[in-house]
Amino acid sequence: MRGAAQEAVLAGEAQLSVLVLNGVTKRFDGFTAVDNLSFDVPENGIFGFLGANGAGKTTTLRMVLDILRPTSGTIQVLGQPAGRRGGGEIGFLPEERGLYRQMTVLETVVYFGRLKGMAANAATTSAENLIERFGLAPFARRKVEQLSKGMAQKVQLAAALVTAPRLLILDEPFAGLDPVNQSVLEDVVLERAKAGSTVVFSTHVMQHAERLCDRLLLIARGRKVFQGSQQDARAQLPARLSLTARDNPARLPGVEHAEPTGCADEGWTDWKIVLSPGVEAGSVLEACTRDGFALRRFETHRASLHDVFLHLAGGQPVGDASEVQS
Amino acid sequence: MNATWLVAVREFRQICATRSFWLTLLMLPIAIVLSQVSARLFAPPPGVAIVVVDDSGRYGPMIQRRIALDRDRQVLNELGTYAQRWKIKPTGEGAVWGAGPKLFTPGEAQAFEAAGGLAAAQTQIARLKPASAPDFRPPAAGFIPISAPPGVIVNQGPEAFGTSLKPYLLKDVVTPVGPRQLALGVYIPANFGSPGVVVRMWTNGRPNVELVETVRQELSGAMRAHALQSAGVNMAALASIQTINAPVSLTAPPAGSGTRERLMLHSALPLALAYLLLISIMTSGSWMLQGLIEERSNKLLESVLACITPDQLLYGKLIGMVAVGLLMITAWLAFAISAAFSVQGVVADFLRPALVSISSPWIAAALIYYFLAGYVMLSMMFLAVGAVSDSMRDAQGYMMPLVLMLTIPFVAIASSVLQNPDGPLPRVMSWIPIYAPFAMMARLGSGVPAYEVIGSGVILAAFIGFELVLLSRIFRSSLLQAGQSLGLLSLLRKRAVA
Repeated sequence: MRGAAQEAVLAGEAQLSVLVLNGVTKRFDGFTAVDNLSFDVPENGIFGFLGANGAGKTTTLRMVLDILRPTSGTIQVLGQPAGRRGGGEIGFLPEERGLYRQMTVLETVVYFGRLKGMAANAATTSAENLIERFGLAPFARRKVEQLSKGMAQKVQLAAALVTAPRLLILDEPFAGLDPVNQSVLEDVVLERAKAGSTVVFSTHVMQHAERLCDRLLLIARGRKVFQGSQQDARAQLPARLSLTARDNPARLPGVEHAEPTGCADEGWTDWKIVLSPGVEAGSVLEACTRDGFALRRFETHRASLHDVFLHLAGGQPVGDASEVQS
Repeated sequence: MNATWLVAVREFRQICATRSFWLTLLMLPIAIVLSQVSARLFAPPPGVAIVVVDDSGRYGPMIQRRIALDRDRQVLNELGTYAQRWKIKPTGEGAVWGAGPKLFTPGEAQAFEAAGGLAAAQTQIARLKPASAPDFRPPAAGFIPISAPPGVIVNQGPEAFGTSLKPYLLKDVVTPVGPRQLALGVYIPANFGSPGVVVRMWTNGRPNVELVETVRQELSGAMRAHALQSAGVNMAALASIQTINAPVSLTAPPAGSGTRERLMLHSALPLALAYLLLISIMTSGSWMLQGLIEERSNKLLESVLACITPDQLLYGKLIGMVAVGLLMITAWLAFAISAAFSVQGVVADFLRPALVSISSPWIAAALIYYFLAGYVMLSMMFLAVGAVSDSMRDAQGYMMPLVLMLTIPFVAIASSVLQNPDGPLPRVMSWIPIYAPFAMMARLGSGVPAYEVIGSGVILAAFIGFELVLLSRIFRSSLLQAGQSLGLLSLLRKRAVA
């Protein structure tokens, strides 16, 4: 069985992978949390790690960070086996967040920088910049226990970023944040990616992934069900159309299912159409023009990641879904 | 800076920043000062008063004279101890106290009195004592004869005397040295000595046996003298007979050199260290426990474990905890030593003799080893409790048996060591790792065979190593398991966490 990195090389992708998992399995007392998971994360860009609650995302990330050891399989991070040797090159924002309540904001960020091997001066300078960037400068000398939840989460994010890591791993980073802070966090993620970091973030909220991710990995019950780009993901679902026509569009080539949704005036009818797999909306429009099929409205519906997610992970047994891979 | 060291510094600073740390740090000195102050403020003054009404006119002065002589003998004994300690060699007729403490005879007391008594002795001391020696402070008089308080009827027989005296027996009366409890009232009838005539005594409900016996002996002596005189013994022979005392040579060891005293002195410092070890480990252990539980309940361990290994976290916490404990003990010892130097006589009477017992470099090294090893061993137990507890409530379930397991045998060890350091209990405990630090520290001052020190030390070191492996496993297995009730055994079996 070829590993994901090997496959990437054979496919001619010269891009370096910052993270490679090969056949990784993790069992807890008979329960398989992660099941033979293989994937790779190319350098640069934002990689979405998607899955429902309990799908095995956090366990996988903990194994990547060497907090947990896999039952079997191998993990390579930044070209080395998973471990804490390159701690400063990896930033991590855990799903379950907490800080030392008695430490000040500045002390906290500096402390985590120093735990990752930074010198005191460098950690302090970096911490001060991040605190400024996140609008926490007036609170730098305040104890964490005096901060609001949103501010404390920013402190935790600053602690993850203090070493300016090459690989930034965010586990459910948007959980518990208000829309304003979600927007700040999205900006930071994009900023880090633009600066050359690789960002891996796990989420079960598809809108964030849709806005941010270049590539996606979807897991369900510990197994990979999809890996690829957003476009690839959407291609997993048949295209949908809405149109208003005089005739029944079911006879058009490529239409799998047509359902009237209401009557427009003067003999026109609204239709909702599902195309056959692999058929694009453009070819249907082309057929309408060619065959003189009268149209008053033609709208394509782009499948959302949410739909893809439900399709791949939500409605099918994992065994079936796992066959769908790009 | 090494991650372990960073964790240790953070733990240390976090604990030192808490109010409870400072309260505990100050608790011992404050308790010592308060106990000293309260002892001085609230302890009853020494000595009790006695009222003697003598209708015969013959016995009262004899009793007062006897009390005065007994007081002189007591002063002489203290003077002897003082002279011996400060190597003072007084000269002259009444300088009988220069030979050191002993059982002084009434004759020697009379000679001392004749030579000027305490005032003359103080003059000699002022001239002869070294500059570092404190002034001699005579002991307080045990019994203080006084006249009948106003209102007490002394001329209408024993019943009237007793009835009028009763109210005074329940409160303090005026004496030349200040208010004192009236302990005894004595009424000697005019015809005392005739058959059937008794001396009446009233006490305050707590008869002072020594005082009653003193009065009785004096009266009995007078009756015997009267009987001998009636039997025809002439006055000269009678006076000679009265001075006869059984020849007794009492050798009093120098202060602190008696078997019991020696044991106390030699075991005092090591035992104090063992006590300090127990107290500081209990307090710093509970702080560390709280810190660890807070980390688990605050969900911040994952962030930390993404940066450092569980072992680095464990060692850092351990070092931080030991550092806090040592800081507390250093502060307490510094206070105790300052207090010792500020109280006259404590250094000479107690500290120096006590330090002699641990002055050998080997004993001192063994003491330090057992102290540090004990601290590390017990700290790990507290950390293990913290690692498997999700809340302080959880921790209490483990703490109570742990505290009982440590304290109850410790009390038994301490009292056994003071009786006999080589007794079976201290010796057996010396080989059980969790009690070895206490038992060995308590015994070291009294001399322990080398094979026991080395053997017990090696077993203790091996136990610490074993404990470290177990704790490391528990730590790895439990740190991210907050909220899941896992048994200790299942945690030990787990090897999941890196």
